[in-house]
Amino acid sequence: MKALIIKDLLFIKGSWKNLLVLFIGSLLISVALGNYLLAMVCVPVWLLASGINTFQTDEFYNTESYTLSFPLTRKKIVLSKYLFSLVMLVIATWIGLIIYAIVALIIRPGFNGLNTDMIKYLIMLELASLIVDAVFYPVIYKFGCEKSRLVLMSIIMLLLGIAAIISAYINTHDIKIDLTNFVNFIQDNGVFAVAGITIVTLIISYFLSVKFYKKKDY
Amino acid sequence: MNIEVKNLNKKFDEFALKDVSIDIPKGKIVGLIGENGAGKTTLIKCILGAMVKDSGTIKLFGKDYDNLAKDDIGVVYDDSFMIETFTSKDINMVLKNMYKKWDSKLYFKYLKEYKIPTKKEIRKLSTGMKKKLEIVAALSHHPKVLILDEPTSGLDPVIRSEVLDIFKNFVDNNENSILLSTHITSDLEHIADNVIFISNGEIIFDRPLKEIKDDYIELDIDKNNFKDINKKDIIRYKENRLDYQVLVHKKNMKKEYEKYITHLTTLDDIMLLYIKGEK
Repeated sequence: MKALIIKDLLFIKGSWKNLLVLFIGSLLISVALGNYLLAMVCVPVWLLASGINTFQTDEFYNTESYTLSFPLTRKKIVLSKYLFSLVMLVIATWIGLIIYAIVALIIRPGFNGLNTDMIKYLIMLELASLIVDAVFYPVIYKFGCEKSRLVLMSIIMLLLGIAAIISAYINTHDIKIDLTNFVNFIQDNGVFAVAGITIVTLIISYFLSVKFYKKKDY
Repeated sequence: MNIEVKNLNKKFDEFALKDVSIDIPKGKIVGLIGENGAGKTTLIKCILGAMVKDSGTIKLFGKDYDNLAKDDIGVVYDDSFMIETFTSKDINMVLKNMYKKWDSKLYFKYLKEYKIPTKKEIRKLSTGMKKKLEIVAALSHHPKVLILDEPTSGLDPVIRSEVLDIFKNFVDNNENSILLSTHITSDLEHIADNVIFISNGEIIFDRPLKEIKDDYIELDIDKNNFKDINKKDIIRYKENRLDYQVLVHKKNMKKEYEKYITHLTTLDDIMLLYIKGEK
C-alpha cells in the first residue's frame, strides 16, 4: 500500500514546474488584489485535487492491471488512494503555511493577515477539496475517468437546476429566509462542521469505491 | 504445480472464456498461443486478478488463491504499464515498498548489465530498453513464476534473443516457471516446454512442444490430388488459390501422402490451420 502512495507522490513530484507557475501566478494576482488568501490556498487546493489526476494517469498508462498483479487486495488498493489524499492534506497544509510565512516575512513584512480566520479558511478550503475527492473517487471507480466527468457534470447540472427552481419558488412566494444564524454558525464552527462532513463523506465514499472496484475488470 | 487453473469461466458481451483448465508446472516454460482476441490476455488477467472470474478455481503454488501469493509472481504486459515520467530509480523506490523480497542490488545489477539508464525518464528510452526495464522489474523480487504477455513484441532479433536467454536461465533451477503469451511462435519453438493453444475462449490443446512437433504434419497438395487424401485422416484443411494445406496426425500418415510433405510443420502452421481451416 505504501508503494502505491509513493507511486502517486512521485507522479505529483513530476509536476513541480506546474506548481511553481501556479504559485507565482496566484502570488502576482494576490499582490495586485492586496489579498493573500488566493496565494495561500491555490497550491494546496491544487495538490488536493491532484488525487483525481492520479486516476487519470493510471488510466492513461494502464497501470491499474499492473497494480492488480501486486500482492495486495483490492480493498487495500482503494485505501491507498484515500490515504494518499490524507497525505496530500498534511502536505498541502504545510505548504499553505509556508506560503503564508513567505508572504508575511519576505514579500510583505508586517502583513498582519495571519490570523485564525486566515488559517480557518485555508483548512476549510482544503477540507472542501477533500470532499470533492470523496465525491469523485467512487464515481471514477464505477465509470472510469472519462465517463465520470460526464456523470459529475450531470449531477452538478441537476443540483443547479434544483437550486434554480427553489430560488424561483422563494422569489415568487416572497419568502424571507434569515441566514444570519447560519453565517454565524459557519464563522464560529465552520471548520468543525466541514471536518465532520468531510469525515462522513470520506467514509461513505471509501465503502462505495470498494464496492465498485471489487467488480471491476482492467 | 506453480499455477493450476480449473474450469475457469469469464463472460463478456461478445466473448467468453469457456471452462479453461491449464497447469503451469515447476521448471517449465509454457507458451500460450492463439489469434488476437482468442482469450490469452483475459486468461492472464484472470490469473493475476486484474479481471474478476465468473467461476472456476485458480490455485497459486498449490494453495487457494491469495493475493499475497502474488509476491512470488513477476509480470510483464504487452503495453508499457509504467508511468513514463518515472525513471528506473523511481521504479525501484516504488517496487521495494511493494515486494517483500525486492532486491535493489539485483535490480541495479540488471540495469547495469542491460545498459538501462537510471536517471533517464522512461519516455526517453527506446522500445527495447523499456521492455528490458519491465522484464528486469519483473525479475528483481526473486519470483517463482513469470507471467509474460507479449514480452518480445517490438524487439529487434538481437534483444529478443537476449531476452529469451534470460527466460531460459530463469527456469534452470527446475522450481521456477514461465507462462509466456506470444504471437511470435518462433520464440516458443526455441524455449517452450509446453504449448497451450487457445482459440475463441477455448483450449484447443495443452501439450508438450515436442509431442506437438511429433504429432502433426502438414501436407501441401494441389487441387487435383486433394481427393487422394482420406477425409478421416484430415484434422483441418485450408483451400488456397492453387493448392490445399492439410493438417494430419503423423500416426495417420500413409505412404502415398509422403510426396506432399514440403516443410517441417511449425506452430504457426498448426495455429493457422486450426483457426482458418475447415474440418
